[in-house]
Amino acid sequence: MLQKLLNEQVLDPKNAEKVYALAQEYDRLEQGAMAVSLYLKAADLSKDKILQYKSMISIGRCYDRQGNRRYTVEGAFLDAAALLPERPEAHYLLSKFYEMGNMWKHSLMHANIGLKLSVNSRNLDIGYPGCKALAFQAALAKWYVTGTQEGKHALFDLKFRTVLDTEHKERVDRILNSIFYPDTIPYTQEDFSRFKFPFPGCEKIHNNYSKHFQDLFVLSVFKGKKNGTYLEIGSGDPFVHNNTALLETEFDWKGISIDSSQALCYNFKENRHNTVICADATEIGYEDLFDKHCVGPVVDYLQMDGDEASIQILKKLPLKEHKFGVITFEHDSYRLGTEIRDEARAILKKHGYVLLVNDVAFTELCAYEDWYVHPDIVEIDPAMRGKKDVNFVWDYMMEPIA
Amino acid sequence: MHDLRHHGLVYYALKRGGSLHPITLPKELTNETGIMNPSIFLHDGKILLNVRHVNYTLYHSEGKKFPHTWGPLQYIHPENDVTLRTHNIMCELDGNMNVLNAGRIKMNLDTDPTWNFIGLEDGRLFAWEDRLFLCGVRRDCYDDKGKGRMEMCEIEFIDGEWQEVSRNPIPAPGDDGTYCEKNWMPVLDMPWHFVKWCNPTEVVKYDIEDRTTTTVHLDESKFLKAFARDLRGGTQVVPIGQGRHLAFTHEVDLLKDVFYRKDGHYNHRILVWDQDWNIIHHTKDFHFLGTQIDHTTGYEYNIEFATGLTFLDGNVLIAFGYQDNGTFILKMPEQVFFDFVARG
Repeated sequence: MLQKLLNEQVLDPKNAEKVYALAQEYDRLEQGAMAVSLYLKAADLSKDKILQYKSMISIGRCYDRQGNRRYTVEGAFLDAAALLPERPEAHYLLSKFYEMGNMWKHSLMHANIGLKLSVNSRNLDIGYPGCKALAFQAALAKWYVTGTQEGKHALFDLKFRTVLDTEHKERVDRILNSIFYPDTIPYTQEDFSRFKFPFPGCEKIHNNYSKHFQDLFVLSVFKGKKNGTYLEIGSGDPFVHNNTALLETEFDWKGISIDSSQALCYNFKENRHNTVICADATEIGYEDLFDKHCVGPVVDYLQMDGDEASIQILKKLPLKEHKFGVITFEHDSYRLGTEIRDEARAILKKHGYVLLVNDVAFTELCAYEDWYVHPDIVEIDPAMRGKKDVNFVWDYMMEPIA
Repeated sequence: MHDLRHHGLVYYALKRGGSLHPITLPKELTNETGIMNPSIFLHDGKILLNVRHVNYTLYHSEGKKFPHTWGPLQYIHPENDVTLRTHNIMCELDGNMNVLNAGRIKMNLDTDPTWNFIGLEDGRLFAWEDRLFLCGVRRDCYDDKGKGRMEMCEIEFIDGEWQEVSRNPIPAPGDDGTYCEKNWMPVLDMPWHFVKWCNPTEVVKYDIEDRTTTTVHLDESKFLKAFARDLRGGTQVVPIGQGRHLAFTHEVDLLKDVFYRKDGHYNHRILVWDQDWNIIHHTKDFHFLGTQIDHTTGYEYNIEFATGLTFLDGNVLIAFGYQDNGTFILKMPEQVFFDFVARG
């Protein structure tokens, strides 16, 4: 093949396409130096920007194979990007190039430019793996530029919301294993088709507020119930990582929230309609509180998030007089051990609660909550039972991506 | 001659029954960097080809549309290595110019380099008195300023590989006071003789025993004004009968772009000498693989270098490097070749 292409090129020496074809053959044969000469000749001879673009990219790749010629590799890719800035391939390669030098802002810029361009680009057959690879570059760079949750979210989305090739899947796994998943795993409307436990009104939800799907779990158990009730212990911010915001704003639930932070309670009062009480949840007289606020014998949802004090608070609740349809109980067993979790399980079992989802976890390993239901109040859907061991919340709530 | 000027000697040859043979070497030997300036020689019934392998890949934008960051002509080394390293790779070819085997010549007499051009460069392959030599320039052992001298490197095939068995630096004739000597052309049928310079032709004889060099022919009155540039050495000087000799020579234009960055252009030419070392014939200057022309200035830009020539079975085999990056053998029927030479 090389001989044939060489003869064709020599006998038609100003034909840039033939020079390029010969360059490709040298390239395929791992004869990088000669390939460089020919690619450059093709680019110089041609007036076709696509061929010039492909040539410059190939030059960069040839030098890259030889190793330790970074200025030259960068220059060739920049030439390509300058030539056809509207194409994604050069931006992808530049993003990867800058990744190798830990130049993350450069890497991020080119990844994001490439992503903007990649949708309508036809394949040029120059080893560009497509927009998912650009998405990976963008996510990786975002993480290393910011070190924030936003970067983690981008990587998490790649792992769980994108079909990746094996190489990128393994890279995403390695990175997430070292930096951990994001603090929160949000639901968006794009996840609806994969949501395992849909309920009436679910399709209209654009996003939720809980850290790990607690609000959607409650609504799933109650099949999208309107005008429910709740007691929220450890409410925190009125919206960020909040388990009742969606219930109130979209499903008209009423309830009482309790938190010890004056700042958060002030914020809550300013931004939510339902009641918030600023108090130490371990010192509240719950029977008086329920009387004062006319809380009936059945409350649909109890959030118990008192950190190390969760078990102490649970013991103060009038569990004989009041039943809760759903309880999300934070035990943080991944960091506090299983003592609190096991004691709570014993108490709640004694009061008739069914542990529907045990050891809810924010990774495949780190269990921090148990989710209970009371069979007197809600009908238990067997499909909603968790696994016996750890229930990573994403896997519990979402079908795997096809 | 139109196709010669515009398309090169290879095009000319292929149109007349010649053939061009690319030489490729495994990347384990080359790391895909430049293989260039090959020298071909028939020895003990074998077709041998010495290929210069360097640690750089030349970047040369002939058309100037895509110059390197540092200019249109750049030697791209590893960025942590400022040396220009040359290794010599000996190949055995079959009659169709396929590489049967290839391996780096083991330079047993290497010493710690004193300058950053390391290795024997542009070695011409030939045998005198049944001893096989590579003769090129070495610049890594004289001083720390790049002084270079021609060197005869005697090689033998020992224990399954080509090895250097003796090294013979060649002083310049006279007081040996020049900075760098290169591209001397060995005269194949005159042991120990080189054409040191072409115009006027200077022939020197090296005494390998006492390591002295003597000028045996130089007549400055024979300087020919026909050439615009210096005629520099190229291939071996081969006998062609009736006391005549023939060789490919090269000429260089060292150019600068508008930003004063270096550029370059090589031409070749074939010279014929009579028995008294008079240049009795020469061709026009030409390229092998054509070039790109700057239509506003008329400048041409091409880097090629022929360092080997031999005759075999009615053909002439010309070994040349392209852009310091590729190695080729042009096979031309002798009749076509001499017809080309005769046309001038």
